[in-house]
Amino acid sequence: MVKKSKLSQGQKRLISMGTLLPILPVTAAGSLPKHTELVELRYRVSKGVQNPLELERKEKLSTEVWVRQQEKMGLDVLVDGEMNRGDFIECFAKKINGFEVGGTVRCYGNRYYRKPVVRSRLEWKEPLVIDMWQYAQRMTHRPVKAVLTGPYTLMDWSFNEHYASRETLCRDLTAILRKEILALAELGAKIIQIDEPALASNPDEFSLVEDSIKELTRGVKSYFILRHCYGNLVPVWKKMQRLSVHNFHLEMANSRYSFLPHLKKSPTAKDVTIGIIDSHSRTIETPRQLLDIIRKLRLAVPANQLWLADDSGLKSRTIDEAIEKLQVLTEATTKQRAHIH
Amino acid sequence: MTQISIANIGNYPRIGEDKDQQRYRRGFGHFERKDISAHAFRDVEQSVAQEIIREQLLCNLDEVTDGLIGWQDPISHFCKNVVGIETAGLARYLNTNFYYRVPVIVSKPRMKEPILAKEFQFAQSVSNKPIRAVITGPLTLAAHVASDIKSFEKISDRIKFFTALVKKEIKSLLGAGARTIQIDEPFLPLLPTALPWVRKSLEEIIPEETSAKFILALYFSPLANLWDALQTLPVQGFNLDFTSDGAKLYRAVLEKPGTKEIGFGLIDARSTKMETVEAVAQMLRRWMERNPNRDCTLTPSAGLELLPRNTAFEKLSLLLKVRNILMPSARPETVHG
Repeated sequence: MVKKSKLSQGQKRLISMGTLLPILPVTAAGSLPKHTELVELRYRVSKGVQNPLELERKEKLSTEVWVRQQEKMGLDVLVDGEMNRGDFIECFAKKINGFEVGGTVRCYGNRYYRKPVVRSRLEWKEPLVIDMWQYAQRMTHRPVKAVLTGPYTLMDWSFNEHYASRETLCRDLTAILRKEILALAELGAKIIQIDEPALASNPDEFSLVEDSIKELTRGVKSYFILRHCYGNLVPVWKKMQRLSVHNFHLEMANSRYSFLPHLKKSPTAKDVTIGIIDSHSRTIETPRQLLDIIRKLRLAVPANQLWLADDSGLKSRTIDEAIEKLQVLTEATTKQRAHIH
Repeated sequence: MTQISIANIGNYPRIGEDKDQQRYRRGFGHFERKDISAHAFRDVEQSVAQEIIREQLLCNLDEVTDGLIGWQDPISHFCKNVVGIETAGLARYLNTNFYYRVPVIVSKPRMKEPILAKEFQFAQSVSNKPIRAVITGPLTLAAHVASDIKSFEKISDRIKFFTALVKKEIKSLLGAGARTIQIDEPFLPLLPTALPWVRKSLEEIIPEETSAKFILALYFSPLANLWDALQTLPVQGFNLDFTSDGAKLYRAVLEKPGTKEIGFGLIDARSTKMETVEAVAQMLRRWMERNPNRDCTLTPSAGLELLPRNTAFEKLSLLLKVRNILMPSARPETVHG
C-alpha cells in the first residue's frame, strides 16, 4: 500500500470514491475479441435472417465470459469488452439522431468501417454504453470502466453535411455524451474512459478538445481517463495538462516508445496508463520484455501514477492471443509490484 | 480557346458496397491467411484496377489513374522494395483518419528494382486514355519513415536516399511510356522550410530533356502562403487542393497566376457533400476570364479513397458536368453508366 503522502491526485479521487487499487493497476483499453459464434450471429442479424433477441443474449453471455476471464487473469480495472459494438464510431452514430450510417471506407490495411454522415442536427436518441457497462459491473466487485468515444473523434471521423462549423458539431456531440456521462455517474460508474484517438490530428483545433472535455467532466465525481493512440502528441502535450481528466492512456508499444523521452523531459502530474502490449501484433510479449519496459517507464512516471495496459482494443486479435497478451501483462506487473513494496 | 482537362489524381476506393465490389477485401483476407498465393492476389488487384479504370473512363476523364490499388499506403509501397527497411507500428497519415504502418530504417538501405513501371504498364494496357503515373515525393517519404541508425536520423539524409529511389522509379516510368508523372508532396505545406530540399530533389529527379510532364501535387493543408515560392520549382505544373484555404489560395492564384499549369482541385475528396456544378464552374470561369487561352485541369482535391465508392464516382462525374457548362460543344458528353 502506498503511503498516503505519496498518493497522486488521481489516486486521491479514487480513494474518495471508495475505490482502492494496488500500485501499478492493470487494465484493458476497451475492446476484446468476439467468439466466432457471436461474429456470425451479428452478421446474420445485420442481414435480417436472425432474431436480434438471440444476439442480445449472446452478447451478454460473451460479456460475462470476458468479465470472469479478466478477473481470473488478475486485471484490476475491467472493461465490458464491447461485445455489442462493431467499431467505435458507427455504433455510436447508430444511436444518435441526425447521423446516417454511410458507405464503407478504409482505415488501414484491410480494415474498413462504415463512416457515418451527419445529415441533420444531432440529438440524443438512446443510451450509448450504459446498458452493457451496467450489466458487466453487476457481475463483479472490481471496478468496470465505462468507455465512450469522445466528441472530437466522433466529429473528425464522420462526414459532415449539415453543420456550418466543426465547433458547433463538436458542441452538440459533447452535449449528447455529457448526458450519457451524467447517467453513468448516477448509476455508480467510478471510472469513465473517453477515447480520443483524433485529438492530435489538428493541433490548431485543440481548443475544441479542451472545451469538450471540460464540459463532459464538469461537476462529475468520477475518475476520468483520456485515451489516445497512433498519433503524435508532442505538439499538444503541454496543452493536454490543462485537460480536466485524471489519467492519460497512451499507446506506446506500437510506436516503439518513441514518446517516452518526451514524457521523461515533460512529466505530467496526472496518472498515466501506458500501453505496453501491442494490440496490432500477433507476437506475444514475454514477461522479461515487459519487466524491462516497466523499469524504463518508471524512470519517466512515478510508480504511484503509473497504470499498465494494452495499447488499444484487442478486438483484432484472436481470443487466445488476447488472453495470452493480457496474462503476460498481469504476470509482469505482479512481479514488478514485488520490487516496489 | 481555353482547354479544360479533367483528371483523377490519385487513389480510388478499392471496395464498394455490393458483393462483387468487395472481392478485393476478401482476396486480401485470403492472402493474409495464406489461403492464396501472392500471384493469385495480384490477379485480384489487377482485376480491381481494371474495374476502377473503367469507372473513371465512364466519367470521360482525360487522364486516369489505376486507383493506386497496389499501394497499401503512400509510404510503405516504396519502402517494401528496400532492403534495410522493416515495418513497425501504425501511425496516422497526415491529418486524415487513415493509418499506415511506419517503415523503419534498420540498416543501410538499398533499393531493389523499381515497382511502378509494371503497375503503369498494366494500367495503360487496359485504358484507352492516358494513365497519370503517381509517386510519393522524397520529402513526404522521408518525413514518414523512422530510423534506428544514426546516419539516417536526420530528415535531410533520408531525403537524399528517397530522392535516389524516386529518381530510379521515374526513370523506369519514362521508359515504360509515362507521359504525365505526378509527384505527391503533401508534407511540404507542413514544413515550408523544406522547400530548398524539395527543389534540389526535383532538379535531380526530373531529367533535363524529357517530353513528359511533371506535376507536383499538394493537398490536405493550406497552400496560399506557399504559392509564390512554389513558382521556383522545376516542374511543369501543380495540382492544388482548394478545400483547405480555398478562398485565400484562389485569390493568390488569380493575383499571381505564374506560368505553370494549374490543376484546380476544387472537388473535395474528403467530404461526401456534393459541390454544385455551377459553384465550381463559376470559380473556373473567373480564372478563364482573367487567363484567356490558358489551359488548365479540373480535378478532385486529392485522391478519392477517403470516400465511399459511390460518392467517389459521383465526385468524378461532377468534373465532366462542370466542363460541359464551361466548354459547351455541339455534342455534349455525358457520364455513361
